[in-house]
Amino acid sequence: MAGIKKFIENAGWPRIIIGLFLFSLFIMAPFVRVRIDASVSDTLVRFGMNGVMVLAMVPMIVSGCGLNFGLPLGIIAGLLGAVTSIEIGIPGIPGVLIAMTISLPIAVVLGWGYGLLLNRVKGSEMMIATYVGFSSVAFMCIMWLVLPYKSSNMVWGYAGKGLRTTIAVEGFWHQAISDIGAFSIGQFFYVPTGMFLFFALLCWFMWVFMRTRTGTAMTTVGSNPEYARASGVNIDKMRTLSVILSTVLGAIGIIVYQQSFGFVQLYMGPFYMAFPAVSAILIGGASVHRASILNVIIGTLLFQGILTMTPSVINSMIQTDMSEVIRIIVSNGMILYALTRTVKVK
Amino acid sequence: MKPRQILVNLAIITLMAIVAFISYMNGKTSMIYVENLPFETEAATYPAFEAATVGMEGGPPPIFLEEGDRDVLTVVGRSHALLIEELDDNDNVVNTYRVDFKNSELKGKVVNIVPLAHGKLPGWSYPLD
Amino acid sequence: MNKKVDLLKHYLIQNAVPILFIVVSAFAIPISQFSGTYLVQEMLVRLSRNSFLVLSLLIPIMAGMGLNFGMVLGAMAGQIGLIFMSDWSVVGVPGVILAAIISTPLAIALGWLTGTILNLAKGREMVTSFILGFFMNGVYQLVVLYGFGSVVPMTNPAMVLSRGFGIRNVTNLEGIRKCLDNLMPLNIHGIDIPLATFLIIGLFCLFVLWFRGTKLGQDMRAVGQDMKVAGDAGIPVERTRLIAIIISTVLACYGQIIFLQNIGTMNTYNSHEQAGMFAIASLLVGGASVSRASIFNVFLGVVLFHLMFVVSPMAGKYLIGEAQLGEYFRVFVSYGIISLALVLHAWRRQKDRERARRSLRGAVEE
Repeated sequence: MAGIKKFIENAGWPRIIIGLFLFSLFIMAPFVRVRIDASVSDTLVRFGMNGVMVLAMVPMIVSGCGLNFGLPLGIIAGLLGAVTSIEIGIPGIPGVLIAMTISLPIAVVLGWGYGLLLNRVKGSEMMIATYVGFSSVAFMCIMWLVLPYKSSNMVWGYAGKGLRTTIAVEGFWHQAISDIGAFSIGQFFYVPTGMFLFFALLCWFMWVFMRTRTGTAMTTVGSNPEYARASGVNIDKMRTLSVILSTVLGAIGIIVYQQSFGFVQLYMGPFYMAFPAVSAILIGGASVHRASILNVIIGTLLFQGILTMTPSVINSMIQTDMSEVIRIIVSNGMILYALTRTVKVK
Repeated sequence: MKPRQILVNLAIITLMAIVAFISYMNGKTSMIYVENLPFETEAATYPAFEAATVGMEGGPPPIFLEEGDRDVLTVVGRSHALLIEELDDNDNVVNTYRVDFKNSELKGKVVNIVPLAHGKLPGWSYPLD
Repeated sequence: MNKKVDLLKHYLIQNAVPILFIVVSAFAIPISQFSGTYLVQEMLVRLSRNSFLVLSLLIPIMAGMGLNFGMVLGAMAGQIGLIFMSDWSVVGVPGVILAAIISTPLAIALGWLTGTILNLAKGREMVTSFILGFFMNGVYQLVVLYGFGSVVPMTNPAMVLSRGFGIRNVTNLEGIRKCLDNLMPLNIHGIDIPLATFLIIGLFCLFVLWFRGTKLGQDMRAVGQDMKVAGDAGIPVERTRLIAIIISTVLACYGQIIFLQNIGTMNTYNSHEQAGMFAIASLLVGGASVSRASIFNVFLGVVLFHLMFVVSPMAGKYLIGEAQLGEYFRVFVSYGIISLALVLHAWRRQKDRERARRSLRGAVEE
């Protein structure tokens, strides 16, 4: 009994409710004629798509910068890379690599500026991050119209300039990473092995990084700034580094997402993309000040599981599409819970 | 909470409820069917108007009814002032009637303007068949 | 002399945002080719439409709780009142009053909820109220899209989706359209002035001025200055903050009703989202900051923000030949201005804190 109590204490009610909800969805699925294998496969694919962007939350949380609502900044770097790669027009793995190579320096520069900004506003990072994300997306809306991209695959047909709102990557690098060693069992079960390997690789990098001297210093800055200052760690530098890392991961994350999804979404597309990532890591057990790789993996699985299962199961159960509403309530409810919770613990 | 405070709160709530009720009564719209049909009593027979326009005082533009027509009019609140203009063949105004009636006087959703115009003869309002 | 220059500099920095807006508008207005009468009329309409919503933000700022992004909850309450009102087909001024009365208890309940949650998240009220807005948007959709017509009875089939429950995307408010604005019509040189609406707004300004002087208002300012000191002085901090948010939510609810009676139609699922963002951007454009806002800021802000709002698409069209660009520019400016104001405020606060810490250390060394 005490063990259960402790478990509930540790996990927190929202996570348990969400876990049970997902579990019951999977149990109900066969009764309403939803294919389990297709659902599991969908969940896995979405897990791979979103994993990197959720991973992007980790550095900023551990360095004490809070939840990275400014993820769209990284996403923009990734989009610039993706669009440029399509403009160049090299298909397959090299295309993806080019996209990533181009987006990397952009993400580093943007992340550096973003980090400097956040260092000047300690204590209200999250609100400002949200609006930095929003305004950068709005700014890029102007840029997508103006930037001199020419490829006929991307610009509006009649005007001959200005990028389209969605651009298909079909024929360039659709599923280029996913399909490395991918296999299918039966008609409905598909495993994007390459995407998992890539995600695992990044997770491993992050894990190793957290154990290097820089990584531990970063964690110290987040958990105990006074101690970090006393032991001679440059707090601002560590924070900036974490923000750069977050932004770079965001850029890579969106490219991974797009190559699996098949489309590049521009304009207002990235506007709300930070929120699913934030709530995913929170569902996985992270708080505003503490996050681990395990939180990322569990959280992404749970959150994406709910996103895949609710439409299919609930729709066949009551013939109405409630998935959007459930998504809004679950993801924002989780963020709300985390925001009110940590203060209490302090 | 002090008893006085509770009393004040109750008073505010009651007041709000009363205002809400009054607003509801005065702002509620309902639809009536207005028709222009001949009308008979034991004493006399009234022919239908050649044509007429019917509207609310201060309301939306009036509706036009020819002999034997029926149309829908939206009325607001509890008491209404109906303006009926009797027209001849050339659509010139022959006679103007101004009739007041209340929702409570209505026997149904249908109102015949002919008996209404001639002094609210009984039977000017009856339910929809 | 030097002091004077310093003072001027300080003044310029304090009012950087409105000055910037005035300069941009000064360039954009001639480009947009709008006539003066048109712009004056448009500004008057927008003042009457938006001022009340913006005013509802003042009291939480006074209580040191920052910009109340939770005002969208009030807007939701107002919209639910309007849904009931048009379902019962009540029109005109009585309709507006009825909608306000129906939504008041709802707004109080939602305000209480917001206040309670914000008391749990002291120091990060803004981001919490922001997320709360998103969260309640989900709940609102759940209630209005699935609850209305199934659990909550609806009498007017024209408002309900064809599947039998849920309110349609657009709710027609033709019955109360401009009824408040046209209650006391006034026309000066071909410019319509919605006198009644301005009277309500004026009354509310008086209320704010009066409220500042009351015991509760003084308490709020003390809490806004320093929660700990206020608590030590015997002010019930959490209760005061709760009341500030409840007042703001209820006023936002009335503000949304006034806003929508002017527009005449309601996007059932979007109108409230925009309400919050535009109100906050307007207030900040008017030179308010996260911790300091006056009635003057509200009116200046509404005029400047909406001036840019009206002018920028046309200016964009004539300047670059693309109205879409002006549209995006407008969105960028609204978000950019909020970011800028938040950054400036946080920056200043951090500097103050550092200075305080340094002086403390200095004192110890001496």
